[in-house]
Amino acid sequence: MSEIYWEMGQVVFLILIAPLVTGMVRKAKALLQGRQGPRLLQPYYDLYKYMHKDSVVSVEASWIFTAAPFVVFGATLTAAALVPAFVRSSLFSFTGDLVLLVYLFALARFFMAMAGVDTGSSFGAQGASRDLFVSSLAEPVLFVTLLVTALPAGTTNLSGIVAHLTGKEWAITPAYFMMLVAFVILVVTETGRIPVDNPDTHLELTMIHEGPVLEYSGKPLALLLWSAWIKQVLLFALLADLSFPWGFAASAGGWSPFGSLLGFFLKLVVVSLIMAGVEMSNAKMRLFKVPRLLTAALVLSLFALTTEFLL
Amino acid sequence: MLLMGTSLILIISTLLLVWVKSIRSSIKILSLQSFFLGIAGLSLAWQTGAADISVMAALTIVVKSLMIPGILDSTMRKINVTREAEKYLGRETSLLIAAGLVVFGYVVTGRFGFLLAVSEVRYLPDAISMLLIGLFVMVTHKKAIMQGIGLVVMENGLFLFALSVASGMPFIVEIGIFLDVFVSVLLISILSYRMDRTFKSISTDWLRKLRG
Amino acid sequence: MEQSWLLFILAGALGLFAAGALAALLFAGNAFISRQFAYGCSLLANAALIAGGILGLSGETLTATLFRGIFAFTDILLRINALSAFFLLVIGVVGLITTIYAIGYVSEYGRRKSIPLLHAGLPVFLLAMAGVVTAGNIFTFLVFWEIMSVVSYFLVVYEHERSEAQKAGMIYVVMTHLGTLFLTIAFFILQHYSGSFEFQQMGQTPLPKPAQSLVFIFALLGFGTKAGLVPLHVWLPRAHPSAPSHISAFMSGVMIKTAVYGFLLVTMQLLQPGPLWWGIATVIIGANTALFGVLHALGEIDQKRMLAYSSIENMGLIFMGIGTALIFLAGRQPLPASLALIAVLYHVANHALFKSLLFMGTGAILMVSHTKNMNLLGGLIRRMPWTALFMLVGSLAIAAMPPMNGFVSEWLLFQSLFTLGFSSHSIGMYLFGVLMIAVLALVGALVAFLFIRFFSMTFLALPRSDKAEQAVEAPLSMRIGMGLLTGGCIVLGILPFVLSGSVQSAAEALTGTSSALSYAITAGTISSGSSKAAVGVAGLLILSGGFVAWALTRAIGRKTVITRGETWACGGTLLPPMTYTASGFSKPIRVTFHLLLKPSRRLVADKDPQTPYFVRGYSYSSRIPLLVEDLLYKPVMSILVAGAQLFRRIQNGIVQSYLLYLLATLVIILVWAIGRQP
Repeated sequence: MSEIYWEMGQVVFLILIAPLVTGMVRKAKALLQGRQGPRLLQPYYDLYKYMHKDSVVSVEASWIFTAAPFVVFGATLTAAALVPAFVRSSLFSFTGDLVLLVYLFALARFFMAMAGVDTGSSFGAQGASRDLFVSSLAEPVLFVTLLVTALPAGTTNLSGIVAHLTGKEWAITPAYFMMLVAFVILVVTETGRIPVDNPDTHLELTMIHEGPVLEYSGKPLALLLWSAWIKQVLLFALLADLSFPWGFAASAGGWSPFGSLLGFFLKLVVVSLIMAGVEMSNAKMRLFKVPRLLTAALVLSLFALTTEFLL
Repeated sequence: MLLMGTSLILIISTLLLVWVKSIRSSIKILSLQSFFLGIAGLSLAWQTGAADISVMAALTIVVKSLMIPGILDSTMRKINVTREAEKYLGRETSLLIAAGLVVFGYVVTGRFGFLLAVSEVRYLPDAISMLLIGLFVMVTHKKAIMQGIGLVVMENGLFLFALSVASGMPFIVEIGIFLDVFVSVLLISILSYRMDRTFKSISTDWLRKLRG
Repeated sequence: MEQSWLLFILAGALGLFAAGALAALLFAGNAFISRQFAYGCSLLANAALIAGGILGLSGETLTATLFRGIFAFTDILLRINALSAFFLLVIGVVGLITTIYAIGYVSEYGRRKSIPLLHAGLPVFLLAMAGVVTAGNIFTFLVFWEIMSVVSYFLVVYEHERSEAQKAGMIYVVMTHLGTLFLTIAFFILQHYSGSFEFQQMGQTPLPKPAQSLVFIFALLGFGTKAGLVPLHVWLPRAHPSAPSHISAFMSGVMIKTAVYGFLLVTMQLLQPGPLWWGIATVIIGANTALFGVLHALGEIDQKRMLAYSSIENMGLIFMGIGTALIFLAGRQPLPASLALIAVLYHVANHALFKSLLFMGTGAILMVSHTKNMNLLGGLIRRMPWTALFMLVGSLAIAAMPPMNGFVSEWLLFQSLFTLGFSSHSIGMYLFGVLMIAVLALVGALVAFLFIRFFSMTFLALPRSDKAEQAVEAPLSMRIGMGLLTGGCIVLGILPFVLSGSVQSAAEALTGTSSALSYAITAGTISSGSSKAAVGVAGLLILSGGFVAWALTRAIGRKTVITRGETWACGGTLLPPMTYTASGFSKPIRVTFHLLLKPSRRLVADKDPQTPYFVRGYSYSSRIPLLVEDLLYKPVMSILVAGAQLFRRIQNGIVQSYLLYLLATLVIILVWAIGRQP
């Protein structure tokens, strides 16, 4: 019974911790570059700042522009309710599985892309076009990669997958490492980090997420940024849970909830450091070279699947 | 005696049709052939005692021996063209092929003729030869009138064939075919006249231009 | 007694259609009466079809003879089972709503003299489609199939003054008759072995293996032509755009589904389960078609052609599902096969709804702005707010975004393929399942891209031409039609279990097992509890999430002011030519897939004659060549034409040669007769 409260707490925790994770990645990147960097809690201050600012909306924009931040936040929130972070089952795990998760992100992207075109600015439209292009190619690879964990588990339900991973039949296999590498590539793609895109700038070269966002200001901007950070933390959580599937809280067996929360936080720290490392050691790729990167991830996943089947 | 004579005359007239050069001669040969065909028919009718065959034979003599040649002749007079029949094959080659067709007629008869009475068998090779050579005439001549003549010869052959094998076709059918041929020749005359007026020639070569 | 009710209703529906068409033609002089009769009878008949469909889902098979023909095999025999009933339901619902739409749409053609033909064409078309899915013997099926093809041909070339409509009609009628030829062959092989013309008897008799496979291949070719599978699809992108929009809605929404019905009928009800390669071939063809369809759609700027290619893509997905079911049936696993069929049937219903909706919308846009070119549209959301809303829902639905109906069927397809991979014992089948999931995901993502592009370029940003600027909202009946379909999409998305009972019965009719969904649940591939019902919960969650977002904006920070400003355009005024175009939006995809699409472009600079440095203007054109036509159809056609030219030499115009043919034939026959005599 109390598990329900912990599941709800999981969702709230994910939402609240998202800006911190972003801050951690930025701080880590700065330190690696030899700078001091912004403070860890800066994203919270940013959100606060935006919430207090007036917003300017383009005369060309329609109700889609105004509605998009709410749809995006709503979809991302629903996705947060699906992911098992430190509790083995998520709040609404019965509603859906990894297919629903991927498509919820796609829904958010749908409205963001429309908002980008809505103002008539070609910057937003170009960002939308590139975002859709990269994600069209990334989605199949994402599915194949996640299948590496789903097929042995016999289900696409995330809680079911986690249950399989924490169960007794599972063991680390070489296939798993291949899958993890592929998944890291995908997380980089989906969160728009170097080498796919640079999340810190608004230039034409690095506009996958920033393009549509450019025309927003004030409270809607806060919502959009927050949604992006929540999506990032969800993907990090998936990565953390898949690479280190221990320390889940559950009503029957497993660690105590507080312990698993702490463990989860530590996992997030590690993932943030890894992400910062990946960003620092690569340069941004040309847009049309991104499919090659994704193909590499696909090949890795297929290899992982094959070895998993044969062993 | 009479039978052999008429049979011989029929074959010779058919072969001669292929040999002659002028159209007027062809018309005369046609007239002759039809006359002797009528004689043959009458003799058969007298032998078997069938009345309708004698009517048909009489009609043959009147129409095919007198009227049709008459029409064709008058058309020839109106048309101001050369009286020569233009052919695709030379007269010697045509004669050879026609002789071959006559032999072919005999071969066919030999294989099938054992079912018939002697008098009828006598005429069967003639019939088949006339049929094939009539068609052959239509194939090798360029002028429209010759095609009409070929048609009449074909019908002669058909009539003789029916006489030999089945002692005549049903009367209605015979009359119908007769009418067909008569009208066809009429049409050919008219058409030749028109063709002459339009092209100053009655060669069917001009019809080639009509293909799609 | 339900039996007689059902048949009575069905016969009544068919009769009403016929009556409507006849009345429309009889009163051709009075446009108003002709219209009322045609559409009024259509509405009633469609309602009857819906009722019949619901009644017929009870699961038994009923047959009835409508007319006795001269020979035994020419009876008009009707046969209804759960599968037919399901398709009747789809036809009826889409028919009803599209008829409402058509009442407003045909006013566009109001001034033509031939308009009673258009009025009459609609009921006949629907009649034929209803007849196809309820046919009980070969004759009935082929008769109605032919009527459907011929009537749709006339409707496609209705705007006969446009040359592309004529060409489209020509290609359409040739291809569809090619397909009918294959069908006829398949049916007659079946008849030969089973000794009967009736479908009921044919289902009982097993055929020898080679004959079975022959029937399968011919059925696939025949129905594949109608469904638009690659490479038999060449008529679809031409025919669907040329027809009047409500007819396009019918053709894409319902007519190509009759091909699905036919294929399911032949492969699952008339034939016994076949070898594995049937299913694998179907899946590969389906995947190929889906990918081809969506990639070409991304290269189109003509809205209706884009939607036609999208229909091709959806047919590909449907056949992927059917192939999966065939694979399971070959492995004697009826339960997963049933799951796959449920996915297929759901997708049939969903696609009928949202494709018709999208065609209706483009019809409305065409009507008010007289253009289908997305590069000339834009900014319509302000001018046509209702149409925009409906199109948004349609785009979300076809892109399979939760919580719309498209997501439900896409999800079911995923689960079927997942079960394929999960339950396979060989590495080959395992990887095959995984690859097909990858293809499905790729296609799904590209479809989302496609429809974001469609909606954004048509409705958002600035109008790119005067045609777009003068657009107004569509007439009421059209809006009602679109609104009803939109409602259907949303309802089926949030409450998919509305349809699950009917879908299950229909699938049961095909595989003989029920409760496939509970199987899937206990096998663990779907999470516990009916996840389909739970998609609705997801929809509610998204809404509440949005509400939370709104609450947060109110709670945190002060009350802020929203001001309006110009979009930043680097300091200048924002003009329509500065906005993104549809061609540009999908450019990255064209570049990435250039091996498959082989796009070509020409950029010509119009230079000032005085000096090459000043350019007066540029002209840019890009095109994607029709590869299938160039590589497959053109060579075949040129061989045929060359052969025909050879034969043409026989007709040389010389009379004597024709007579020579006669003479030769005569001599040859005589020689032959001689030879035969002993």
